[in-house]
Amino acid sequence: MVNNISFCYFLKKHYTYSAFGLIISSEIEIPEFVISKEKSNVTICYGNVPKTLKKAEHEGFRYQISKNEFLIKYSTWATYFVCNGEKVIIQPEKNADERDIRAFILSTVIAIVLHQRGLLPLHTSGIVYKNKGVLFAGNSGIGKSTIAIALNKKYKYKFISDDITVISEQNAAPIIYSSFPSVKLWQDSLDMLKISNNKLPLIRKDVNKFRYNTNTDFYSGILNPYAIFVIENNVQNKVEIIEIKGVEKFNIVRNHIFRAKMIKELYSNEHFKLLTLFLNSAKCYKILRPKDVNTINELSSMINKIIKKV
Amino acid sequence: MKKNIVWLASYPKSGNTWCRVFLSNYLNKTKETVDINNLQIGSIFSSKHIIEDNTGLDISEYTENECDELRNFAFTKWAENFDDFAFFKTHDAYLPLDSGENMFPVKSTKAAIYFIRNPLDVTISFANHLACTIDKSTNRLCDKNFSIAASKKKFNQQVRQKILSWDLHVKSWTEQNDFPVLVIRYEDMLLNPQKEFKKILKFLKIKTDNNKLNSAIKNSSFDKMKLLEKKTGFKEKPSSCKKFFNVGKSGYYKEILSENQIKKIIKEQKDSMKKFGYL
Repeated sequence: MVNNISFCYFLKKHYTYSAFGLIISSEIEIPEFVISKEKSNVTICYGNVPKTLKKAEHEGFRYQISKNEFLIKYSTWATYFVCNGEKVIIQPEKNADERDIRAFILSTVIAIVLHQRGLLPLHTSGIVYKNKGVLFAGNSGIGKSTIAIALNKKYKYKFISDDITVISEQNAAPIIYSSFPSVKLWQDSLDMLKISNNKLPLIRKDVNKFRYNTNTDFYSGILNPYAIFVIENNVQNKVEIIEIKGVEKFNIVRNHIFRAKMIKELYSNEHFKLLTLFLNSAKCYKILRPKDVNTINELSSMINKIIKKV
Repeated sequence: MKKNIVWLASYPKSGNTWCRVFLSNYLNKTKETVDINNLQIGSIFSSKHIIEDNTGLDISEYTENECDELRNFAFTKWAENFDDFAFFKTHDAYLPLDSGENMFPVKSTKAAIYFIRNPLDVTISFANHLACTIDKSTNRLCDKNFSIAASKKKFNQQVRQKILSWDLHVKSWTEQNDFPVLVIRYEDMLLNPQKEFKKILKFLKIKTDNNKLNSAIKNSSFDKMKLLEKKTGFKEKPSSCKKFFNVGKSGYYKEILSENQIKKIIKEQKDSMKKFGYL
């Protein structure tokens, strides 16, 4: 089966991109990624996927996972198979919308590629300060993307990532790879940031979240770590930023490994090593901010002051 | 598979939180009053956090119907973490998925307690909760297709819940035959909490200890919760509403609702109002 796919692959048009420190050759056009001319180390193509994994270590809702293989079926649009951190095969359903197919390449699927390669994808957005990375972690909907864009618009910090930021190592030192120049924003975030949704594409056909292009303000490359801010809701109606030190840093940031619940402990050794390296070089802060209240100006000003002081 | 789920079901603002605080205090192993911001009983069936934790998926980019497909799997799995009772709160009407399959994990369900309150009082409390006028809350209460957490403009911590009109909500829970349901009237809880909470304990076959019962009732009283909310905030309060624990009385609609509002509710919700003694 793999040989047939490889044969078809060379006959079809494909695109080469760089993202997350990877060079990706894809049969599917992914306009969000940056075009590259380098030799690829990951391929994405259409083809037949296995019905089940031979040696699944965990099973979840319509997915199976082992250390080197991952299979997930999204009911109405496609099944994805990821193996060895270098190959993604997609078997689409009839009449599947390409935006739906792409949306899950850009999140779960690429994250599994990164995990399989022994890297550490964190659930964060990120910006650059003096060639170092400043990351914003938090659960979905907490405002990671909004704060990164607000700091970019207000204080001109370049943007490096949205949703997933990859930590790796080079010469025994921690490094951060930029992801790609695009951010997903809900309408209320666009309103807060005073960005019109005119002509912004939806991330999926039936999901009212927009894709905002950050091409001109994007930094592409490798950075050293600087700081990580973990955003949480505050029951009290005020914004607070507290520095976290010692082992608590590790415990807090560990909760923000991308798709941690899906992969369980499969990559815990690799993650422990990279997270320790990363946190030895990065300061860590907890942001507490009231839920559903627009505090973006106050918060970005407070963060800007801290970044300049670190 | 365990059969341990007990649904604490209600249309919003009908005494569900009160019962959760009571049960948390009654079943608490220490004598201290439980923290209302850390209730160990009654995780909500619409919690994205629980669905994500138990499916491993990120559902922030799922459609509403796709999220509903995951709820049965997620809460069956979550219920496995509890021994005798997995109490789950819900405001959803008792409905199947569009495919006809169960949205609720029926096979893991032991029973349900359905809290009901006079819709003439509910509409006032609901207006406070939604930070809207009473005319608007009344229209919503009478809307046969009404859903909560359905905003498409922002990320919600909860998935969309179809609650329908008040009357259809009541019927959906009290007329189903999948598991036993105990109906508790909010007004009876106010009038004689000892009697009603005893009824709940008996229904669940939980041994009644009168000292614990009285202490749990005291620690979950409306005034106490109101005070705690003032002191520590209440994380379940929608940001648009000023106070979650607002008035908590029965029959106060007579001083507040207009004749037209009363007429509209009675006309459109009369079946269940009659059946449960509100007419």
